[in-house]
Amino acid sequence: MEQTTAKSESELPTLPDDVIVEMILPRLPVKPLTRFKCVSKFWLSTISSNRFAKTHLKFSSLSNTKSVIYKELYSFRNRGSYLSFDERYDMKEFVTLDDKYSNNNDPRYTRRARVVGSCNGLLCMFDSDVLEFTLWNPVTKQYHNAGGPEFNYVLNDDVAGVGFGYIPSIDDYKIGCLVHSEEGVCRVSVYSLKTGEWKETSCIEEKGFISIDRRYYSVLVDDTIYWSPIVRRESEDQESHIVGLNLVNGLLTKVPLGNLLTGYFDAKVFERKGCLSLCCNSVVIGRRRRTKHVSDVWTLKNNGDKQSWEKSFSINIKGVILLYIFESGKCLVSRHLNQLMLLNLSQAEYVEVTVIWQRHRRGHVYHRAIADVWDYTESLISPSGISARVVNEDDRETGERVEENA
Amino acid sequence: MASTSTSTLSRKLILKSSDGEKFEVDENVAMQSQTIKHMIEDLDDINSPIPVSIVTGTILSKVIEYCKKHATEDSDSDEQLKQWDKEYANNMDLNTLYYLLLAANYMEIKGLLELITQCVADMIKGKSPEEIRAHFNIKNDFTPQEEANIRNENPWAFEN
Repeated sequence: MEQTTAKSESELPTLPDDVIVEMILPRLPVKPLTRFKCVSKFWLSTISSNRFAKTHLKFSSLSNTKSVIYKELYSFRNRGSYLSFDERYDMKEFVTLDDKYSNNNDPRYTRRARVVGSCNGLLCMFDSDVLEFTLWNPVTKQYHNAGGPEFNYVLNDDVAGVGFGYIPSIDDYKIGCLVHSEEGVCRVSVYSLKTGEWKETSCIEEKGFISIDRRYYSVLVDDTIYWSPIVRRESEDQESHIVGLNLVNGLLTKVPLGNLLTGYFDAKVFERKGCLSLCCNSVVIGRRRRTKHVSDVWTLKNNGDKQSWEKSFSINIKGVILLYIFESGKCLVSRHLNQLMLLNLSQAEYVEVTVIWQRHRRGHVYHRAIADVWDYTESLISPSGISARVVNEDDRETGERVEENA
Repeated sequence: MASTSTSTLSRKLILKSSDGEKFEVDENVAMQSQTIKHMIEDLDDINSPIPVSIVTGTILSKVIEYCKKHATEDSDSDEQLKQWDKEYANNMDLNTLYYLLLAANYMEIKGLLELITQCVADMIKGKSPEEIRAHFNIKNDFTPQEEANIRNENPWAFEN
């Protein structure tokens, strides 16, 4: 690796600062950058700045390595994993997240908190027992306690939906939280990282049930988080919808589904090529009365001012559950709880099926593997929204206080 | 990739390095440099040599080698081109690489600049802060206490 000798280094031409700062450093992973903070005062202030964090993010989002956070639900031993893929989607890393998340070294938080959103290298962790959110940068190991919606939260209140996202137009990170009370009041609260405050943005009466499947988390499409709809078998003729929360204005929206859910037993929202998508599962009785699982992926298309659902593709491999759709169109799926597979789809047909991970112990066949999968890019973005690092001793005080709050 | 019209293909330009060496190149090869592109626009006589004032002949010939490869759009797939880029950069010693980086920066050749900066990034990512200072000729302006404080904030970054 080292091709250099002390002699040749001393003869090297000096590179201009802007070449180093704008073109070389943003191409480095977070770990060496953190190490290089102690090269000089200039490097420290550069690498610690918000501006650099944004430039770095731009470079790392363009890089060939994509990562996803994979979290199996109902599996207590394996709480969360981190998967890393290269450009060919070969798996490069598979590590458990458990040991990494240690908020304030408090094991209570560590045990209960779950990833409910991922954006620009920040993970949004949610502890449903105390209704508290924490923003976490797993690679810089920084935490920021975002608290929770400010109202008297009572035991029977139902946290119907949570979500997290970055809004480029206002350069802010927001957390959305939808709480449904027993009395039928639906409160929407939105947290802004910029202001550091929770605001109740909407409070509506909703006597009936809210069509959000609590098993799944949200997706972010165009500043709006969407939750998976509940599929009710007993009322098949009833029109259904997807509930969304616009993180900019804090208002709820409903995306009509018509009778699209008819015949399906389960539906989960996805983001696919910038569009809201819905993966619907059904059971078909085939030949010799064998049951066959079919997953249909529907995508919401904008035709002028009209929106319509179009079927994009179907997956009908036995025991397969769609987990994530990559930008390239490749699909990450789990099979029988003990396999992770990558499907390469061309048009509507899959042309290639690759098993990327196989667990030795076979999973419970009848137990549907449900996992959350989040897109993840490592970054220097600070979860507290400010660059806390400073050089001189006076400012250091402030820096440390910020970290304590976090 | 955008196609170049045949009329521009036939035109030749002469580039002159800082040490007076002259290179005759196709216009579409030279036009990959934004700097030269702008210079041609202001040029009265297309036949007079274009000075590339801070780049030596040795380096300029390497720059032209890169531009030639990336100007022809025939059979090479993206994959083959990437492989060629990789070998091109690997065959360079560090000194040449750095002068090439300065040339690409001055001549504004986006692809070459990206290739070399990535190459330098890959080269330095395993280094220690001390090695970085030596490599880039940077003076440590921290007091030992200040440096120790920064190290102690992120001990994980110094682990292997």
